[in-house]
Order: sequence, then C-alpha cells, then structure tokens
Amino acid sequence: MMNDNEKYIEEYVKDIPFDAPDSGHRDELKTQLLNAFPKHRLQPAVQTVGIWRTIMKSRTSKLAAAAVIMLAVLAGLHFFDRTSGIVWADVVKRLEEIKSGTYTITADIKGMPGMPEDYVTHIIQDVKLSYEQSAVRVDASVQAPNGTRKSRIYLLFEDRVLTSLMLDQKKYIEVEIGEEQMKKMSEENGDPATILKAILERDYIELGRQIIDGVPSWGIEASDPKLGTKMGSLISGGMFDELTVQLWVDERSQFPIRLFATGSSKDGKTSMKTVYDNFQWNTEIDPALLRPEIPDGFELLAQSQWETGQEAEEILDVLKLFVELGDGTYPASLKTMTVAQAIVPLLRKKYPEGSAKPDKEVLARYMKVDRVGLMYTTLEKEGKEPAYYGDKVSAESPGAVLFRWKIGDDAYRVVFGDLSTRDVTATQLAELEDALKNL
Amino acid sequence: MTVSEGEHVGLVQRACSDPDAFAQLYLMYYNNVFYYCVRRLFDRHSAEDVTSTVFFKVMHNLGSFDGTAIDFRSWLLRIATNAVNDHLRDAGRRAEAMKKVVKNGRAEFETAIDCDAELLERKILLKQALLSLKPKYQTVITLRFFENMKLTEIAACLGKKPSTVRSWLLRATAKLRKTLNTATDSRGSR
Repeated sequence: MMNDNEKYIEEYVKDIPFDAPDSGHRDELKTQLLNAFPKHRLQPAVQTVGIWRTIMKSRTSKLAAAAVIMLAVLAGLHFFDRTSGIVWADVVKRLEEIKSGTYTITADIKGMPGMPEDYVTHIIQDVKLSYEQSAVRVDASVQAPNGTRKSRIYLLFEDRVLTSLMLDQKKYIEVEIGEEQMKKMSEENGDPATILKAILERDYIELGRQIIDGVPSWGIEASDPKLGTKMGSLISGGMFDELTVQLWVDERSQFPIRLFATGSSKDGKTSMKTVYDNFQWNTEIDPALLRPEIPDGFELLAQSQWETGQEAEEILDVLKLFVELGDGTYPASLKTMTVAQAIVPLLRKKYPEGSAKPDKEVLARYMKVDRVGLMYTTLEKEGKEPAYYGDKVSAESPGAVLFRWKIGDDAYRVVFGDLSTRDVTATQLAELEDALKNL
Repeated sequence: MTVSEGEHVGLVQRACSDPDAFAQLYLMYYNNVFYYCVRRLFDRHSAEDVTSTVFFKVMHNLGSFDGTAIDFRSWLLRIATNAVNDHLRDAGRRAEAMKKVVKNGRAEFETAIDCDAELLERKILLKQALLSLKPKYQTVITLRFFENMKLTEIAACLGKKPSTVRSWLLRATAKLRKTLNTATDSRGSR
C-alpha cells in the first residue's frame, strides 16, 4: 500500500516527458562496443561461467568455493603474507603466445624537457603491436601549453626502421637501427610480456587481489629505475631515479588488465604517472595500419642510425653538444630527462624564432639525447662500470674525470672536463676519482 | 523483441564471446538504460555518456553474470545506478547541473521537448528537487516511480534488505514532496 507521499509523487511524475533515445547515439555506441569487443579475453570466460555455475550449484562444493572466496578476500586485505592466485610464469607464457595486442598508455609527466617548470604534460599513446607482422605502431598525442601535438611512430622489426611522423608539422624522421640494437629492441620492446618478465626477475612483491574495473585481478609490483629499459619509448631507460611498476592481471583470463608506473627524479624536478589499459589481445590488426605511410607533402627532417656497442662514444658525442652550444656546463646526470632539460635552453638560444633550422645531420645528433639514458643503462648492464660526474665537473675543470667506462681488464677510458680522453688502469682511475673530492 | 527465459540465458552466455549476440543483447536493453539515466540526470548528453559507460562495463563484466532475465535487468540497473551516482558524485558537476537548472531550465527543455507549459514547469521543479536529494534517495525514487519496480525488486537491484529500501523510500518521498511543495509555492507567489 502506498502512503500519501508516495501517491503524491506518483501523481506528480505522471506524464512528465523525457528525451527519447536517439538512434544515432545507439548505433554509434554499438559500433564502438563492437570495435572494442574483447573477443579473446572473454572466450575463456564462457567455459569458466559454466564451470562456475556447476560449482555454485553443487551444495557440497559451495562451502569450498566460499572458503576460496574468503581466502581471496583476506589475501586482498593483506592479512597474510602475500601469495598469489596467479601463477605468474603461466601469465608470461600466455603473453608470449599472443599474436597481437592493442592498448592505451596514458601518462602525466612533470618536468618534460621544453615545457614550463611544474607543467604536467598529458600524453596519450594508442599502441598496436603485432608479433606476426613484426611491427608496432604508436599514435601519440602530447598536450603542451600551446596545443596538442600529434605524432605517429612505426617500428618494423624486420626492416629495422623506425619512422616518426610529426603530424602537425608535416615532417618525419627515419632511424635505421643496427642489427644488434634491433635484436635488443625486439627482446625488450616495452610490451606487457617484457615488463612482466622484468618484474619477475626483480625482488617483486605480490599485491594480492583487487577488483579493477569490476574485474577480480591480481597484482605484482617491483621498484627499480632500470625497469625503464623494458618499457619502450615513453619511459625509456634511465629517465628517472625512482621507478615503481605495478601490473594487474585479470584472474579469469590471466591477461594483464592494467599497468601502473610511477617515476621521479631525485631532485624532484621530474615525475611521472603512467597507466596502461584498454588491453585487447589477439585482435586482428589490418597490416596496412602497421606499414609506415608517409602522407603527401611530408618533409624528411632527419635520418639517423642507431647502432649498438657504441654507447659510450655516442654519450660522448652528446656531451660535446654542451661545449658546442653552451659554456661547457654539463647535465647533472645522464638521465634522459635531465640531459634533455639541460639542452633545451641551449637549442632555444642557438635557434631563435625565424633562424635557419639545423640540417639533417645536426638534427640526427640532437636526437641522440633521446637515447642517452638507455645507452648509459646498457653500459651498466654490460658490466662496463660507467660513472658520470657532470654534477661536479664542467669544461672549466679540464683535468677532472667527467665520464668513464671500462674497456677491458684493468683498463678504463676516461673523459675529462675538456672532453679529452685517456685510457687508464684501475689504480690510476682511483687516484683521478679521488681528486674529485676536492672540487 | 521478446525472448523466452531459456533463450535469454543462452543469449547472455553467447554474448560473452560472440559480438553478434552481444549486439542483440545491447539493442534489447539500450532504451531501458538510456531512460533510467535520463530520468536520473535530466540531460540527454549526460545520459548518453553514462549509458555508454554502462554498456562498456556490461561488456567487460558479462562473464560474471549468472541469472535470469529479471536478474539481468536488475544487474543492468545496478550498474547504471553506480554509473549515474559516480557521475553525480563530482560535486562540481552537481553544482553545475543545479546552476543550469536555475539559469536555463526552461530553455533547455523547451528546445528538447515539445510539451505543455505546466508539464515543463513540473519537470524543472522535479529536476531541482530530485538532484537536491542524496543519490540513494534519487535512486529509489527513480526505480520505484519511473521503472515501476516493487520494493523487493529494488532491494535485489541495490543489494539491500527490503526493510532498508522501505525506509529510504519513506524518507525520500517525504523529502521530495516537501521540496516540491516549497518550490511550487515559491514559484506561485512570484
């Protein structure tokens, strides 16, 4: 029985008209849903639903199921030492078997080179990755204070060519990648399989079970700045001093559902929050989408090469830019972000509005800055014991060690403040580095 | 389109992995979800946005649904309720919605709907009054008076006890009536 108030409301709302559904929106949404339909993610769910129904309808197994649910809840509450409902090695295996995937990377980065201090740059990247076609395409948009910059990057593993299109400027850059470097990139191409393997290689922690977008998921986390080398172009190696990566995997499909990465530099000037989501696995990707398409009227801005084994020399070439363009004050560290931030004011000074643009060879040298962090971590990984003292040493201290790396047993190559080089023994190096204390 | 209970269960199961089945299910329920959203939000564009959110959530979580056609509608409305409440939770958005009511209420509806002045006036007052209630009260009012759901159905939809829903409904209708009366009186005295 209704009371007076209910009768009043019922009478009040009677006949009040509302907007009718719009067939245009209905059809558009249908198209969007079908385009995003996670066929392969949900296919195993069909079988699981059936099994789940059987389990829940069987009286004897209900209690067991409830116990499992409670264990999962308690694990999620961190009451116990964390153990996982996921066999991570199996997830790696499943990921290694996928043929293609698409996902979105959204990043907020403070301290991007060329941006105002404290400005948080919002970057969105739509990634299409096909192992079958050995290709990656990334459509990126970067929200800068003066508008959004759009770019498109194609990487063809077999052709060893990376093509970057700057869509607004109608320019493009081609980088020919050396065979060794290409092998490395295809092994560490920033996809979730690579990232998960990298997390498992570290002292990781289990995060337990959580509901992500309504989906029960299990998480894993590791902190290590070197994880950046596994994360592709956006968070390339050595960009940050601190880096924590969390990967969440759908309990049912055992495929990644979300990835969070946070990074920061020691001086607090740069920080980053990144989310990978909208994962779809084994979707069909039209081969035409992965082939570099240079639209008419686009100008080739620069062509460069990316060889491996020359990392230290390449870093030295980047350091030379600070003498050529500036007063020989070097970047405080060889993190990509730090180097890029240090070089931006020098480039602005050298190329004011309206001045002649640098030629292709010069641009190719500038582009090496992008890879400095990655090159430095490669030296570390290969046991070449690199060390860099740009925070203390400038061109004004010609005899002080600026940069060094190991070139053989008991042999190190030292780059001094004036960028001259000398090969020394470990004992000599110790003496030279001891002298840095007096600076 | 009507389907039998058995067909509906089969359709939901197939829709987990078959895009065509999912499209069929979507078309069956699009209007339900849109109407629920537009009656909660009083704005076509917000309702369409939230409807989109609802169906994406449905698509991703369909595998976890296990029930009858009635349960499915209830499950769908629960997702829609959460999505609408999330939308309204943004205090700024809510304040903006209220501001729009006061400033452009009439113009907003006049352009959208061809209806008589009295109904239009009532709709504006209802929007103001409903949006001033707590989301849980807005929810029970909409489910009860627009979706014509029984107390037990609302309880099942919201995952609450019928006694809880009963007390929410009592409070919600009392508050809504009081607000509507005050607003009607103040308009009448202008």
